[in-house]
Amino acid sequence: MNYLKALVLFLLIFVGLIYLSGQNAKQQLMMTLAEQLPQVVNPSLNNAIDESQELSRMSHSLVDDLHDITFVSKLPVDLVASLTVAELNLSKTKLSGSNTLNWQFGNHTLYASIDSSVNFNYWLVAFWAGAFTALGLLIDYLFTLIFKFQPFRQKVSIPDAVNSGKDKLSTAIEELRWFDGLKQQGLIKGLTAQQELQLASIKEQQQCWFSIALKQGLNIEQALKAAEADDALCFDLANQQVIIHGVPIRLSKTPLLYYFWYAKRKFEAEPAYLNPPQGKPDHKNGQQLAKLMQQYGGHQKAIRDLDEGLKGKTLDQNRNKIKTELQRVLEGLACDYLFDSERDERTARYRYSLKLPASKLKLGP
Amino acid sequence: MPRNFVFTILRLLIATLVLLPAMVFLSQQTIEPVVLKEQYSYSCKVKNTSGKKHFHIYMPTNWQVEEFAQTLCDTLLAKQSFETVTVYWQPREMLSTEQLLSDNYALFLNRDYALSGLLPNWDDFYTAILSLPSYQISWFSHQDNMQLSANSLKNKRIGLLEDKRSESGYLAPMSELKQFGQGLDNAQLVFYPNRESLVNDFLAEKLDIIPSVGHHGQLKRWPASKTQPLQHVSSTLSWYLNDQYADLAPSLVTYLQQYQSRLLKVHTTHPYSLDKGLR
Repeated sequence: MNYLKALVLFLLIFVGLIYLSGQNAKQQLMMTLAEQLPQVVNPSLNNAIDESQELSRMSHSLVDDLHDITFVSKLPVDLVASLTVAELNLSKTKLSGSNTLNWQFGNHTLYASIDSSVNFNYWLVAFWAGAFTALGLLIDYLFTLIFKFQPFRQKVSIPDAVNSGKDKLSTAIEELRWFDGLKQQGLIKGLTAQQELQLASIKEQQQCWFSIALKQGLNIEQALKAAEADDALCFDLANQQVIIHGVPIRLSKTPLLYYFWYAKRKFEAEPAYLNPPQGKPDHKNGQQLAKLMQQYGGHQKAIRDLDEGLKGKTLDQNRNKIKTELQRVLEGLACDYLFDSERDERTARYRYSLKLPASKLKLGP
Repeated sequence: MPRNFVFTILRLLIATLVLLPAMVFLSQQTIEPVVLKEQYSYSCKVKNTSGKKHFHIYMPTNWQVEEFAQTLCDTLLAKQSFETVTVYWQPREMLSTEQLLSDNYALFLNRDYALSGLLPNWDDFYTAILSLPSYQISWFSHQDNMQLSANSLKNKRIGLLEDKRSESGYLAPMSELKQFGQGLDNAQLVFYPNRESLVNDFLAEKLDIIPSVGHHGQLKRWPASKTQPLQHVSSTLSWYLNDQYADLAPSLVTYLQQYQSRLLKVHTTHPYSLDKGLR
């Protein structure tokens, strides 16, 4: 590209020098001829019998004197080597064109058209065109520096305007690369300026909750609320769901009610529940849970099973279902909302309780 | 890319423009003086000669000068001691004494009063070898039976030659006009650099009256009723040969007779006879 640029500049200057020096040489010739032609042409016509014939004769005779006209310059730089008049046409009738002269002879005008060819010292022209090209590239380089300097100054001036909403927004946009993935997944379509601002200001943890909420089918507005919601587990049994950190997660009726039962125990500050031994179901707690199920419309089969008492195996199955469902939705964040287990040394069975403190539990919406 | 390209071209143009004054300065060269040769001459090289002398001829017309010079080069002066023959026809006003002496004309067509004015003792150098007969000069007009008088010339545009040494174009007609004295306004007189433009303007009716010997084809056929002879009859025009070349006189006279008989046949309304011509 740079070589091409230099070549274009060289050609531009080369042609420029040829044109300028050629024009100058021709102009100088025209000035000389404008002064001299009338002096030599007019006297010859005075005693001429046929003006036109004499003009034609002089046209040829004058050309013989007008070859290899040389030039001098102030510097030792003769771009034009010589100039030769190829054709000179003297006439009584008007001649058009750029290289024409006219003057008065008696009561009429005489015209001359001059066709000249310039011989250039091409090597000298090329040398100077080269020198000018180097200078031109230097000037061009300086231009580039000036242009580069301009945008830098604009960047420096940004802090002055940083308080304006528009600039704040553009800065935010630059940083909000974290939700590009959501955009690609089609979870985010069209953000308002306000929403972009909100997204810009949320923390990394909240970003996770925002993504989870979107994946759960919430809109951007609701997802933003979820991201900023309290860290709480809320049971919405009427809608057969839990709301964790503002994100609703639907669970099957039975695991949901088992989940509720553990929460209720935690809420009421009861100790971690030791799984009943195999073959010895816990009737007391079984009835309590069956009562809850009847109250919140649990499956009849599950209620009937509980008539036989609360079994360790059933407890394990339902906790696993809860775990699976929460992990599917919340991934790594699920563990905080699951169960702590603790081995009872005496019986070698496990006790289970909700990990979440009671203060973060809401048993009703 | 196109935007970058345009930007690059723009930058190159700006760089060229910045350099333009320096380029203009570099292009300034002054022409070496060109001196154009005078054009009122025709030269030829004499055939079969080793001579170094130059044979200069002057005559107040360029009529057939090329043929004239060529005849001298090819036949009359062949094998003589001349290298070149040159015929000059500059305006008579441009002839000066210095020129006459320095250019050393070998042959000369002029009137003896004009020659005396330039060089009173001309006959120490020149001898008249042949004279042209005197010829009639006439006024030509567009009007029938015009009688020249102060009255008839009123408001008429009169064309004359600029050449104040021309007897037929200036001297004779001017002296005749002077005789009509007052009444003639200088603005009525229009001066022309040569006969051709004078006659052309007359034929184009830009002029009412001109003096002429009738050398133009159309003037030769001009109705006699529209012409009036001048009272003055032209004084004698003679060929003067430099005494150095007296030996060439016989051959030159023979050729000059032929030349001037043709000249007068073509350029005057009056017939020319050879025997009257010789002085």
